[in-house]
Amino acid sequence: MPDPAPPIVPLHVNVYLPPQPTPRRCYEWGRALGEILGARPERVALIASGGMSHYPGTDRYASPDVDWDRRVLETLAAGRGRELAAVTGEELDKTGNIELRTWITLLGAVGDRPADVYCYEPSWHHGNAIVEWRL
Amino acid sequence: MRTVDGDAHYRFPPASAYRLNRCLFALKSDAVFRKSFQQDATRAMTEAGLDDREQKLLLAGDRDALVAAGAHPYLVFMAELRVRMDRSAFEYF
Repeated sequence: MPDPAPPIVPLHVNVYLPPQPTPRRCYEWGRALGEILGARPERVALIASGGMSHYPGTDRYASPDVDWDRRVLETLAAGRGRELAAVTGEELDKTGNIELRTWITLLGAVGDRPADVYCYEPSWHHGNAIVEWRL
Repeated sequence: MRTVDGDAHYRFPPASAYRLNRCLFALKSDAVFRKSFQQDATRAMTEAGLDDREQKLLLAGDRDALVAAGAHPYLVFMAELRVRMDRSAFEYF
């Protein structure tokens, strides 16, 4: 961490308790955030964290939907991030990707730039990926 | 607003399960409460306002029964995980 440490502003997105924001709302909120940050003089890094294919506390816990995760990553690598704004909340719940709302918020800010997908590591209960957009 | 509910994995808990979910949240996030639960679970749950039925469900650790009683699945999961983490180190991945 550089000295002095850069300021960190946590942004909370409700993903587990209905009514959660729709993916569209997350995307639009991220887009507004991106417009504001783009007009600022500071260099800003946006970091979104949320599990892929993750069903904690349910019967699906040990059955992650890794195919859906891989399709999402292909979509991001192809620079079609806006397509995730059209996913429904029901589909996120069904595929265990309710935490992807944090990713979708970030997507609103970065737009349709192709992502660098560094890895996807499925575990028995979870999908782990590292993705970067260099702005 | 259209919401994810109905047959969703994560539904909005009923108000009747407010104390139960508060207790699960405390087990997840409040180290002082978790310690008191580890020392005397019945006393901790009583002070948290849980009735006899809720206390039996929580002690039994029956996830499906807890969720049927209105507990949020994520809180059941995290509460159980944090209590287990306090008891022993383990490799989870």
